[in-house]
Amino acid sequence: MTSRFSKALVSVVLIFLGGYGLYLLDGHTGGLLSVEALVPLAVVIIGFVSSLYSLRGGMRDVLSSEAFFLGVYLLIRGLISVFNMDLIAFIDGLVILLVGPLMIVFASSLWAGYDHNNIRIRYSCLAILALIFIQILLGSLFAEDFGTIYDLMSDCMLAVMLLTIVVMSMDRSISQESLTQSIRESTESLAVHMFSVDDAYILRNGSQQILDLMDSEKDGQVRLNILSSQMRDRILLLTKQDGQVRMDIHVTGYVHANPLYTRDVRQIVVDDRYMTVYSEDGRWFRLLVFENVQEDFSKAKILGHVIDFHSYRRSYHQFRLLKKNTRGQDRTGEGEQRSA
Amino acid sequence: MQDGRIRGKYKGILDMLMSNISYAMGVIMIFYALFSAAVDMKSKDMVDVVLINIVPIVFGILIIMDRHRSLFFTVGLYAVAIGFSRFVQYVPLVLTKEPFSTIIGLVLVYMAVNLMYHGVRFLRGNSRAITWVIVGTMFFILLEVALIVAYVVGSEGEITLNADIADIIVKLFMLLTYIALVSSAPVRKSTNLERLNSELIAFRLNTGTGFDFSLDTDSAKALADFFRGDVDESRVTVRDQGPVYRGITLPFRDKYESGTLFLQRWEGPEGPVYLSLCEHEEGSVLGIDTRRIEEVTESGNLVILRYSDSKTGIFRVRGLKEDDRPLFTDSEGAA
Repeated sequence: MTSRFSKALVSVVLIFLGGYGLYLLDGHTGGLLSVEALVPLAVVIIGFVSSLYSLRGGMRDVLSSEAFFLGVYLLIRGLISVFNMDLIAFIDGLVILLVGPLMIVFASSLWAGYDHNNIRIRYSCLAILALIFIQILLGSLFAEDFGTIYDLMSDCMLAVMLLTIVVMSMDRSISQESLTQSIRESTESLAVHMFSVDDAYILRNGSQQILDLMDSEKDGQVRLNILSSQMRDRILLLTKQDGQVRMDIHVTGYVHANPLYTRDVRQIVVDDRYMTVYSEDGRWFRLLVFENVQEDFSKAKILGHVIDFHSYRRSYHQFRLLKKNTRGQDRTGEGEQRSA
Repeated sequence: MQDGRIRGKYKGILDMLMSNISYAMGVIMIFYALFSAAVDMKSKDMVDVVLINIVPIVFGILIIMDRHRSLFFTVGLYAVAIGFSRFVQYVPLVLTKEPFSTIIGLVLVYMAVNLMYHGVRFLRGNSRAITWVIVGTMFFILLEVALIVAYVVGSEGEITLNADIADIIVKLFMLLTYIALVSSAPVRKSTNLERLNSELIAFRLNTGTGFDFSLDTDSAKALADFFRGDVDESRVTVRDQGPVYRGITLPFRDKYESGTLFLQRWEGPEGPVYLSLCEHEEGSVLGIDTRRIEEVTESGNLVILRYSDSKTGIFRVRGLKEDDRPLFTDSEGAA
């Protein structure tokens, strides 16, 4: 049930069932063969057939088809409600009358290729869902004749249809990133270069291993964690082969197309405070050197345990990847150092 | 007048207050919740009393137990605890059968949920725009002030300090402390926009792509002298280390931000001179770009550097008036 086809098929069926349920419920008061009940049903059935047909395409086709016919359905329902004498139904109808045509426009634009309308369809649905929630709340509190199961069921059926569209629009294959998400991703991408990081450090015994490898006649490799409270940990890889020394810095936990830095090392100087790595052509960088792992005071420490809420922010996939990449490594920096 | 010591001590006191404010928050939360529970026990159900007050007590204890005195943790737990208490308090208002109370209740419940959401964001070390946090908190403050005003007006000149007034005053104090905490630098600098800003500042300073890069008069002279081989030994920060013969650091700035210029001569007194720009001076330095300087010329108030890759870098020499230095010296210099 996790393939995109299955998800789309379920959404189409749910939309149809929701529409059919609304037909039965609307027909409860006006008669099943009344125009008020039959016209929306006809729209839902046409939408169902159209959505089934669009299953041969992608999620975008299915979503645009569903949203288009739901928009038409809302337009008709809004027109019916506007002529209702009940005040709440009138306001409800006005809002639906506004959102329905908008959804038609957004859905047709999405179908034509304007992918960003996906988000607008989602927000249109959420707006009506909020309206339904407020309607139920206010109705249940103040309307004296409110509260029959059919009134509530009708709104719930519509909510199911709208939620189906919302869930569909969030599918990974067609979801658009928001401006905030995009900026956050770009910021992290920029931060990968560590321009602003001034607390990146390695441990003293790690720097000693690097010096030992530099002095050694043999080839080998040293792998260390670069630790920092300002950035995610990096892996420093020093490789010595045929007398040539190369240093790479990789990012842990995320997939990047390139390693961050690949430098041919000319000389490494370790003093009391820094390890400075010199390459050719005047290029250099330096890391702090500490005896022990530094405590991150931005995170709480209770009964000796550091409480890190940052890790919960990572998405499931990134978290899995992080665990996979850092399996067997010791965060204290004592277990990850090895030299061949 | 030499006021450096007084300034230093005053700054130290401010730092100490800021670092211990979380203790105060934790203690106030616990005492307030206990006091509130004692008062509410007479008028409310036991379940409500426990629900409203248990979270602030537990979170207050956690805040006191935090050895790192993490501001994010304090602010986060505080916002969640207060938000939860408000939520439990105001939900019954929504469910009353009076339209006015319901609408006010809905707004208050929304504010309470919003406060909890802020708290969760703070716990993750990621703030929201502080202005909106303050605006939201001000809403609660105005509510409390309105209650005091209503009490004073209603008391007809006979004002007595009872439990209700004490409750409001403590609430006001807690809300004001919350504003103070969210205004602190670590929290303020942790919004998405601030993070992006700090990365972009570092990027533009490191790559030298910002606008109006400038050096003060002394630094411009030191740069030209260093290139010519006339090194001021008092400025030297790296001496005969690795391939570096001499290295100095000079402050520079673009239109708004300041950074550090690393100047190094490699391979002895006649060796090539390299320039690197960085946003900070101390600590680790990563991701910097290095250029070899071929020629330094001074033209008017500009220092023009020609690099080995045929590109040109230009620094403007700042006038004395552009930096905040003693006004008397400035006027002397101008004269």
